[in-house]
Amino acid sequence: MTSLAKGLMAATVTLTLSASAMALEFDSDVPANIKQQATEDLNFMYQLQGSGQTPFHQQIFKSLDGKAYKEFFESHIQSLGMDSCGGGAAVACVIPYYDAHKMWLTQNFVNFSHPQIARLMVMYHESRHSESAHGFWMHDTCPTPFLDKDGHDMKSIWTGAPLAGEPACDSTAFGSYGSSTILLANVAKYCSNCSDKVKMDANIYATDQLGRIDKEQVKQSMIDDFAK
Amino acid sequence: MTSPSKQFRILIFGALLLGALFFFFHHQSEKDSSPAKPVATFTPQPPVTVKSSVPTASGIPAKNQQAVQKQEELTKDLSAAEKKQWQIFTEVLLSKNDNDPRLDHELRHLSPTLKKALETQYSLLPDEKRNERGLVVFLVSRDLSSVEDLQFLESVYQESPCLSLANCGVRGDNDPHFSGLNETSLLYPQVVGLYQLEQQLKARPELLKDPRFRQQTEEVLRSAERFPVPAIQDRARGLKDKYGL
Repeated sequence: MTSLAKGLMAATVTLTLSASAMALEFDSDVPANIKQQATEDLNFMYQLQGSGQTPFHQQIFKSLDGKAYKEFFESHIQSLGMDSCGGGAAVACVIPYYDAHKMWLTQNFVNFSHPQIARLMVMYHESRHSESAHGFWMHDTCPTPFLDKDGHDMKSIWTGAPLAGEPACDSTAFGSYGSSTILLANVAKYCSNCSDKVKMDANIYATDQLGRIDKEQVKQSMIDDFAK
Repeated sequence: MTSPSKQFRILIFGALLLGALFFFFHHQSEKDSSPAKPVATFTPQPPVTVKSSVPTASGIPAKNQQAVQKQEELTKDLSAAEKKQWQIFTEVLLSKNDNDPRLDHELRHLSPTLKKALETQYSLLPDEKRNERGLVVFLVSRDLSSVEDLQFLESVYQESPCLSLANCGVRGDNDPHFSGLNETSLLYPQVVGLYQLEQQLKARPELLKDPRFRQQTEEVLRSAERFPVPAIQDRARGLKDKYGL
């Protein structure tokens, strides 16, 4: 297929997906174990129930329940396929200039041992990148210097390498990092049918993702939101 | 016959149409010639080779052949009730369903014998099974009740850090886009241990009134401070300060 035809197809998909959710399809080359894992993970997400939500969560996801999460995901992503997503440790990606409503998974989706809510965090993070109306919520380059509220360098939690200058930040609460942080923080706080482990995991990974917000006032607005 | 004015209008229309088509295809070819650009700035990396684990009869992966044999002996001292709990643990671990309600209904307040079996299981699992190892730490530390529980926790900070999710012994790439996710999973058992320790101390501060428990908690935090990863050291220091340990 020519790249022009791919482009026209992507434009058609954008037009037809603007309003409502559609059933998710898997490409025929998606291995059975990846298809099963993705399906089970999404089914877990689609049966969540919540006892409340924060205003930011309402703004993005409408409500904390499986139906809303299903509508959100399926209004963003129409199909799932296999790609290397740049190789290395990547788990999933969306390549919006190719097809904004397709998510690509890598073998790492099943080969790497992430907690279930962390895998879902990646899927919802990537789905946010499909929003053409918001320029696909492109990431910010982390500012130089990138400091926390106490004036310390924001660093990789593992290596201690500074994040300054890396294309791995958001300056808004509503981008991919921000929205997935809001999702996790709400699951941790309000999910009424989550296990203790899921809530703990949501809390742990939300704390890390919040660190990718590079504007202190935006980060503070999210912390304030989570307290509501 | 077509009149000259009509011919002229057709000519103009045709020229405009050709111009529009030229503009459209030229613009389109410019877009097409640029490479498909992912949202994240990927630094292309070779695909990772995941370290293989050894299959066992139970389905729970083992780190080596010796671990397979030890796994088979794990449940021999368990009572019937404990064996039932063990079976649930195995099913949850293999299902990768972290939201199995039996985690909270059936696997609370575990007996010392069952905890011991879980702790041994932890050491037999491949290092790369971060979520599975974290699940064991979670189950043991969710209801810390003895010095032995804390000794297990201390041992979690005495192991070598996992360097990559594909092979803990080999440093992997560090794509900044999802480095937070990957790094958190690399540290998952260690993070879970400190998270649960904090939850326990918050909910039951009286635990620290027991001198042996307090002393062993201090040992755990000292080990965590020595764990060669900044995030764990920071968390441990935070807990020490918070509880005056």
